Amino acid sequence: MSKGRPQALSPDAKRAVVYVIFDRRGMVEEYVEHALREMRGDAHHILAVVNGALSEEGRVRLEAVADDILVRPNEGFDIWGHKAGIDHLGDRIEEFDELVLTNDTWFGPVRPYAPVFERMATEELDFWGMTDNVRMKDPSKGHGRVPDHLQSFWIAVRRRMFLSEAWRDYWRELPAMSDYFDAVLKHEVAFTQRFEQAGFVSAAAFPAANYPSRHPALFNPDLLIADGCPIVKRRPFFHWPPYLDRHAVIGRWIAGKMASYGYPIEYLYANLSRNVPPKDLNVDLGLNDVLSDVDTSYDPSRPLRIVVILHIFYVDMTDEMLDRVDTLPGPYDLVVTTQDEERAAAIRAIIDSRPREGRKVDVRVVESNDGRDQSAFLVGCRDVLLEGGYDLVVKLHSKKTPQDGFNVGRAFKEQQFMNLLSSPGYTANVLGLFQREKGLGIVYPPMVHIGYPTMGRAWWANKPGFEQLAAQMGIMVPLDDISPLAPYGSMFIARPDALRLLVEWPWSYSDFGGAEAYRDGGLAHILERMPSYVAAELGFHTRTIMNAEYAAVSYTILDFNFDEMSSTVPGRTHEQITFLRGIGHVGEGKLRDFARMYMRRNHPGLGNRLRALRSRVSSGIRRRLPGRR
Amino acid sequence: MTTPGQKPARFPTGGKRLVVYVVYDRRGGVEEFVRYALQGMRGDAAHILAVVNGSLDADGRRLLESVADEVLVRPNSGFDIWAHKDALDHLGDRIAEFDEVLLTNDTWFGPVRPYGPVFERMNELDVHFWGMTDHEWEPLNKFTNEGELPYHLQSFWIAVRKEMFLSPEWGAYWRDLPEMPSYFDAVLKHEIQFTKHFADQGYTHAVAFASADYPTEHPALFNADLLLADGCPLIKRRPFFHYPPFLDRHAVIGRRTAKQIVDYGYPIELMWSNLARNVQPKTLNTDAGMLEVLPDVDAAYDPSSPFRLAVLAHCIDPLTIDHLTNRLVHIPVAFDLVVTTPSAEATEPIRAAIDALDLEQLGAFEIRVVPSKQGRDMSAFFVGCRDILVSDDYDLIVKIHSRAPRKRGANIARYFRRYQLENLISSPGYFANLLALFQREPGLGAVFPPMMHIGYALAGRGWSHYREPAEEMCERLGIKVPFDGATPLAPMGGMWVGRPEALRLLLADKLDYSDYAVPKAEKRGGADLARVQERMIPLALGELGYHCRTVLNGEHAGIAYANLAYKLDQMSITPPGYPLEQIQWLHRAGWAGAGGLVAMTRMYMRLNHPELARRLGPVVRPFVNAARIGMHALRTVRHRGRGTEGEAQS
Repeated sequence: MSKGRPQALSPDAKRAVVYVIFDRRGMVEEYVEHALREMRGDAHHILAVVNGALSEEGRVRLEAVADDILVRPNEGFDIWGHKAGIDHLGDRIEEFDELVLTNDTWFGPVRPYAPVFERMATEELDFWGMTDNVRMKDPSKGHGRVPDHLQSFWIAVRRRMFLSEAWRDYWRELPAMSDYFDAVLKHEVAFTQRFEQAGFVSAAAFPAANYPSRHPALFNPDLLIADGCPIVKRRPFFHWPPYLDRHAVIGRWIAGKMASYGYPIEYLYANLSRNVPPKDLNVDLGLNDVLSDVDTSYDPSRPLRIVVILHIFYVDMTDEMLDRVDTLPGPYDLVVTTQDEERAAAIRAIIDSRPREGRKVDVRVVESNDGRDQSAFLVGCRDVLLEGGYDLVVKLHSKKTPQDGFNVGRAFKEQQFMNLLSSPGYTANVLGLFQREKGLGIVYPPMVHIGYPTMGRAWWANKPGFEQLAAQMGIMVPLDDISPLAPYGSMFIARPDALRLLVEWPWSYSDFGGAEAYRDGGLAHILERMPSYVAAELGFHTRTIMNAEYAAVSYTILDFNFDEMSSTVPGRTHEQITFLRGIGHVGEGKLRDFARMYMRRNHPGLGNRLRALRSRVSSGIRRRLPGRR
Repeated sequence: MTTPGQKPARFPTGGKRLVVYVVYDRRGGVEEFVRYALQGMRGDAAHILAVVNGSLDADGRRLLESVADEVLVRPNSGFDIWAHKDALDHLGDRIAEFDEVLLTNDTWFGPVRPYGPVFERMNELDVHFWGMTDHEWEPLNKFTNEGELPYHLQSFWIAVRKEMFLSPEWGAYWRDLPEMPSYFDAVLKHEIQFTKHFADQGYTHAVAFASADYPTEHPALFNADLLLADGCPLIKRRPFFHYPPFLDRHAVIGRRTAKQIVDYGYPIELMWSNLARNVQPKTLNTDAGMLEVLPDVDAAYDPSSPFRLAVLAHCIDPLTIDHLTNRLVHIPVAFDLVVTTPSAEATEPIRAAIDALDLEQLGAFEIRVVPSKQGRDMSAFFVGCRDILVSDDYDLIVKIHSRAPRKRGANIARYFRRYQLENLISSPGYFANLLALFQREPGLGAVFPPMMHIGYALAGRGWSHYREPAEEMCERLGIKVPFDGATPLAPMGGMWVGRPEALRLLLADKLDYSDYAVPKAEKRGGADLARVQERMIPLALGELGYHCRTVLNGEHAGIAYANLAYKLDQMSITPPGYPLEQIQWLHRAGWAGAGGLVAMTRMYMRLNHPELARRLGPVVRPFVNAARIGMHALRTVRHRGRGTEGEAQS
């Protein structure tokens, strides 16, 4: 049991920080550097523990901000990282008065660390956390309560405790942690209770009791930082969107608040882009903008070097496309790809009849029509994209989609053109986004839905092929589960830098393999879904954009359909989704399908077990049959 | 007299055209769009006979008589087609005075483009009869799923030349016209048969705008914009009232068409007024895309025609007054302010807060202490400020309050306030643009933000138990606007900007604070009048011909859109097909309950054996209820320990 009394810290007390990093890429991101660099003044020793790998570049970055680096296998989550860090410090721990165990699950400092350290230093404590979690449901069961506890992402421990036997025992007996629930239940939840019971005194710097929810780090980050909390958890920006929606956690406002306190918000964007499924992030961060036709944001004194790449199959659309393109403020260069000389000549004539100040024109006949606009862009214009020195590329093509019917095809085309280049004012505002955010990689309209059954299935058959190609290209951005965030229609405005991984890939026309590549699951459809993931791998984020006209039409339809879809399933939206996803695909809605749905909903896993059993039995029988081996 | 089978002939120079125009109005009135349609036709019609199905009130008669030569009122039976028959009977032998009879009705708006060129073009053709639009032959009759669908001219506009209407076949057709008790009868027994019937007997026909020249089999519904561009004088009402997911499936974009209608110079207010009175408000809002995402810079306001504007704000707790004052400072035009509060002690702090703003644009300012908390902001508005609303002192009222949902937590309360208040007054430029909507459209009754869906579960159940009391109120106040399905289009946050004169019907309902008492749960599920009234606003406005629009600023639109699209994407993985089919699938399957054995069986039966399910329903219901209770109890025991996705936290 504890000896002595909890102590306040003297002004010359020494503090050690153990900061655990987990990065799937072995990188050290800017937000980590920033978090540690700003802590220097308050920490006498910073030990960075890397779970998993650390690249050379990462090591260089980390060395600049940490005193010591420990790289260990990625086992046992952050908590075993802390244990390894404590073990690594060994007896040196006695040099310090406070030990902060923290990790890379937060962005900061949004507000300065020092005032919190100073305030907590005056309190007579044995350990303290930044925030706590009260009345929390048992996450492994979904009901029942776990004890109130300090959150493990930031726990500071004073000498009386970290020199105690209880402390040594705790770490020595730390159980293995094979999954996330273990880390929560066996450590996060247990830690506070165990040391409180051992007679140590704890407090939270920002206790939930002062906030209107049981879990302010998730639900009230804006209130926390308004009160001086230096950090914002990453979770409000990557949690399942319908859950945050249900609790009206608006990430866009939280990020805005963070930026208003001077936090370099581009670090947050870059980290989240690399590690959150893009569509989830689009919603959690509200990266969706309805832009006005009145220019309110473009700065003409900082023009962007722009190349417009048009792939024109339907020559009669040339004028319409150039009308759109001419909404760009200032000069641009124009590259047109088309499939034969005849078209090229006709296109040149149209362009020549429309002079434009400072416009260089290059009309190219592509070597092959395999891959259409995709190959024309990636192969036919690789030089432009990699060596052209452009800040932005505008990619359009002459889209008619006659096979889907006139209305649907026209609506799709207008959805693309109008939402990218609606009017001079609108286009200026689009460029204004790129001027404002260096990390903005690509913009395009939200997923098309009018006249298309994209909702609920926009991966179609392309996910396996996508996964394979992404793995080859080294893209580790997590994939969206239901529908990917993608420029359906393949038109966008992007930084060539953000598309680098895609453009550098050694594509050739033959990869696009004739008409077959245009089938669902073929390369063209896979590539259509790639740009945001490619950009995100390099830390560039995506914004979806639309003008007010499209927003009006699209929103009212979504709203109506959503209302109609919601009327037969009980519960709130996130519960309805869980229900509908639980019953899974309905097939034709026949008895067999309903039996499956019932089993998936009420006995998940049983079907798999039965199938496994059946295949074991039947393969066992087969093995015993003569002549079948 | 002509003989049967007489050769087709052109419309003679100086010939006489008879127009038979059928009106059906549930209210017994005649709308302005009818007058406009007939007035524009006067130059091309020697005689206009208006046939009214049902009743005709005095105003309606006056209106009709101003544009028609003759008015015939008949019982509302047999749809337009029996009205045409009665008109022909009524005319009798007088019909021989004419060279062409045009049978048409009030199912279209026009003339959007002038009638003249179409008449002139068709006059030149040697035909027996012609229509404005047609419907292509289809191998399968989509109405009956049996046999073919013959090629036919659409019955809303069929012109017949003398050579045909004086023939015995013509007489026989009308003499033998079958009864038409339902809408489908009118389609199946007349519309799709008429053309074939006469063509088979050698009569020749033509069409002014052939579906063959358009990308769909039914251009009047799917390609109205192309028809107009080609000079078609009219547009059917249907693209603006059809089931929105169907129009979505076919990418029929009403907002685009409406803009085109304005560009051709048609007085679109006539269309909005008719649709507001006769279409479910949310359906209309969707079909015509009546959401305005307004910019924060003024791009439309005309300061030379200002409104007399009053802000009626309700504030229960003076500590929340800043939510209102933060908005008032953005109002860039002169306005009067009335703050209502149920608490006498609140008046001083409220007055101090308003005075401290030193608002340049503020005219008269008054604080009213309302005698009751019952009905909150709605009773304070309709009872406490009744005198203001009926006074004719103001053109526009901003109705806001600082209340927030109490039980939903701080985030939702904040989101509610921001969503409701900022989407009405987010900046001076935004508010100016919002006022400009009212300048542009004298028929615009109110604007408010769309249904909240973040932090709220209104979708699918916005009517809830408020529907029945709303129906009673409509009955009482003579409101005949049809009700929305699952959720009404309505200012469900209790905040809007609107014309007080458009609220006349609700103000006619003389209510007192006591009427706002929340009834006990067993009575109407505890539906309180305040919430019923919120949901009544578009209906009450619509009855008088005022329409609503929803409004959002760019910030809120960005957030709400992303969340809405995401949720819909996630909900859509289970049912198959286009949204239209997904919705139909879910609706056919019915209430999903907890997705247990009972509910699944019921869904299966409804989807696969609907007739049997319907017949067995009453018989098996008691057993099903018993089974459900049993299964529920079992499930509660067995399912302990299963969480909902997203509940896990760290």
